[in-house]
Amino acid sequence: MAKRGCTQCGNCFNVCPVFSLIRREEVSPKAKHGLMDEGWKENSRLNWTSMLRLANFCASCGRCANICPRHLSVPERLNQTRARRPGWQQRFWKLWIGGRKVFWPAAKYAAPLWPHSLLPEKLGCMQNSALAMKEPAKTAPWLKLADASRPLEGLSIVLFGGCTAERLRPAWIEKASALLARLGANVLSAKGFGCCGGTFNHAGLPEAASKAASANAEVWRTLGRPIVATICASCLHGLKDYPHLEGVLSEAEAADWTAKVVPLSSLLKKASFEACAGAPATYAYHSPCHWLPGKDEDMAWLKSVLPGLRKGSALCCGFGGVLQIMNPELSRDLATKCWDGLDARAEVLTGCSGCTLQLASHAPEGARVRHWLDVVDA
Amino acid sequence: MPAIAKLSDEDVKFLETVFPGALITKPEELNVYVSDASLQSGSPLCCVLPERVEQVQALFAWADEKRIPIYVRGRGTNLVGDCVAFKPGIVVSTARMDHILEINKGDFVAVVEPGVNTAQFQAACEAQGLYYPPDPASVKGSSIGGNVVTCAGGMRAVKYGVTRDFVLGCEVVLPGGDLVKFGGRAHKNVVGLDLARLMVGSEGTLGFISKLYLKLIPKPEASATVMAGFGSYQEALGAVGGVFDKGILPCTMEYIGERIVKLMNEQGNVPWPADKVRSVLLIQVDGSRETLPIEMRRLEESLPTAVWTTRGLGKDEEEPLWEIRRRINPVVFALAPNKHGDDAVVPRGSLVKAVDEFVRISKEYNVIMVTYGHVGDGNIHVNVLYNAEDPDEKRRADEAIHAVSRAAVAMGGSESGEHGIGVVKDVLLQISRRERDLMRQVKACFDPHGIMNPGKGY
Repeated sequence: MAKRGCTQCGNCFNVCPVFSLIRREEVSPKAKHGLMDEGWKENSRLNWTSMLRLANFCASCGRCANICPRHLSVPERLNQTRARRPGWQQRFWKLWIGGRKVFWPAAKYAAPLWPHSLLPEKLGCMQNSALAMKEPAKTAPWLKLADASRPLEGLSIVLFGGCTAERLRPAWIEKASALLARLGANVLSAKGFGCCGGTFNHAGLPEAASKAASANAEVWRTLGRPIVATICASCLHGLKDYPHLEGVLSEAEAADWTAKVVPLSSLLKKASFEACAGAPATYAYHSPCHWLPGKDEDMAWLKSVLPGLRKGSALCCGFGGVLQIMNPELSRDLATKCWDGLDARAEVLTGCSGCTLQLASHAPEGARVRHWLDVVDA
Repeated sequence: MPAIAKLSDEDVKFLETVFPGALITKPEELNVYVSDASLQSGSPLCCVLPERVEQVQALFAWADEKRIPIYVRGRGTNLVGDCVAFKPGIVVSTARMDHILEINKGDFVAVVEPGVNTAQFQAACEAQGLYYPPDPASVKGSSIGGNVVTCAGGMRAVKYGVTRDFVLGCEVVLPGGDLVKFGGRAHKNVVGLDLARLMVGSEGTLGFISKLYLKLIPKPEASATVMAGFGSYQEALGAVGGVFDKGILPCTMEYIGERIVKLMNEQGNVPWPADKVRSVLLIQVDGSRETLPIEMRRLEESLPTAVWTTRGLGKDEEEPLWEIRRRINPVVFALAPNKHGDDAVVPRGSLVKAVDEFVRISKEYNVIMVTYGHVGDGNIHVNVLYNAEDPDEKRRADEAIHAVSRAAVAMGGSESGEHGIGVVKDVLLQISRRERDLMRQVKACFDPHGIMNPGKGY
């Protein structure tokens, strides 16, 4: 039976970070479904530009789809809407992600030199992100392996680092690979893996998304369909979406892919870890949206091995990929609200590359945010 | 009252002054305010989002003078069109009047603004060991203000009562702009007519509730659930009385009818033996940890006709059982794409007779009908599933659902236990013209020019 429309039950209000921030019904997921239903009609009375501007009040966290009795997804709908009439933002995003080898390191070094006031408003937020690309000062490890057992012995695993780790935080990849090797895994070369494609899809660039997904799927196929370990919640989300993308995986491959794409933490929990002497008594944790509520495996693992975790109260950090140029003010306000809900006196950990950069780019004075891999001793 | 087709420049200027940054006039932004969960559409002139009661007072003085209709809207989850501007008018959203002003542990009273979400309010109370029991199915989506003006019910009504039983007082802005206070934080109060409770269930036709004083009770220490399967709906509904006869007052008592159980059996993953169970009761009791196991045993003994039972003690064990209840809504859409949802109530002693009659109606009109709901208080949800693209099927579905209402009233029940009348039902099915005229006269005392939610309810 075809997917039916929104019943206006309103269940999506409480889980929507944007509604929670703005408290106006027109930005709720329910409103966006109605808006896109109406706006997509052939002779719609609505103005497409105004409609898209309003629809862009979405952090693409996906919580609405999770709670919707009909599992209607605003981000999915919004991706399709953006794809209908791509604008300069899409072209810019494609270039920014596609050319990350060149642009990101350049941005990392150039951002501090460029006067913020001279940048167009839409790119100001991007400059903040670029400033956050600089690694935070190293910290003594909080967590280390507690035994010499090799629970992953005999398993072939390839690490999917993702764009951010690949270009800006290679230490995450080195550390994750070293941990897997110490646990006995046969760590395969990840050469050929590129962007997971999730961010292209989100930006309304389905062809670029499929192209990225197909390339990654081909690497996996060539490697003999090993386990794919990810270190980023957003990459995990993007990779898990492959079976829904047309022409990327065969039916048989799709089931295998779904079973084999796993977060690194799900593998680490097979071993014993212990807190180091330098570990703080408490630390703050931001749970990425792409771990849906109650499903954050990174957080569950951290809680079990490192006491003192205090989860932030905000729903979303406001990274949202292309949101930074589509609606930079919203991105900033969500980040600010997110920091309000975190104990900024403590060190903040998270498990998503995007969240790490976004929180770092809006951090209050003296506050620090790290990927949890930064505090694990390999 | 003459309808105005659009706001003049002067009107917009006034509204902008009273609601700076909170006046919505663009069609794209206004789109969501056009309808509610009844899925009917109206034609609002604009929407305003007050944050302070003074803004509402200024608006109501102006709108009353200009005779412009006012539609107060919580979160738009109403099922009978109560939020819809069928005559052009101004939608007043309470989304930004959403503060919990006080939760008082000593007084067992909460003071809240109307836009507070009910689930969030309940969680805030429970964090302090207090309890606000009304739990309409829309609890995650709806607002307290909306619950009050529709007198929302829910599953726990059998033991704790409905929203009306927890409203101690309210502050109300009347058309013309006066701010009045009915009742207050006292748990007992017999001074004058009980106008606070008159506001409850008034479907937005009397005034704007700007503040609510709500009664709280201690949070029960623990709860337990028994799920019982029966060979027929007659046996399931027949067992309801036996529970009460044993002296047990459950906090919830839900029924799942045969058609839905059959669907669930077909889809699999049910806890009961699919070859034996055709109808289900889900019964929850709450109280102290020490006494609950005794209560559970008595409860199971009170269900001798059950062919299967299981139990859950405490939230973790109960949750999988209640998950089955939550599956009803998605499950029924496997039958047809569209649904008429009815919330008829019959006296508890007439449950079997009522469902027998509903089954007869479904055959007479040749429609797909399912029954479930809060049978502990006689509130049976009857859904007619149909395909709206087939005009004949839709007509039969419309007629069948009205026949259900008539049957419930004929048995001494009510055509609506929870949703209200709005524009979907006919109040004269249940009350006389004289009685309706009295209601209209009461409305005229509050709203002499009829600007509050015109055409709704009664």
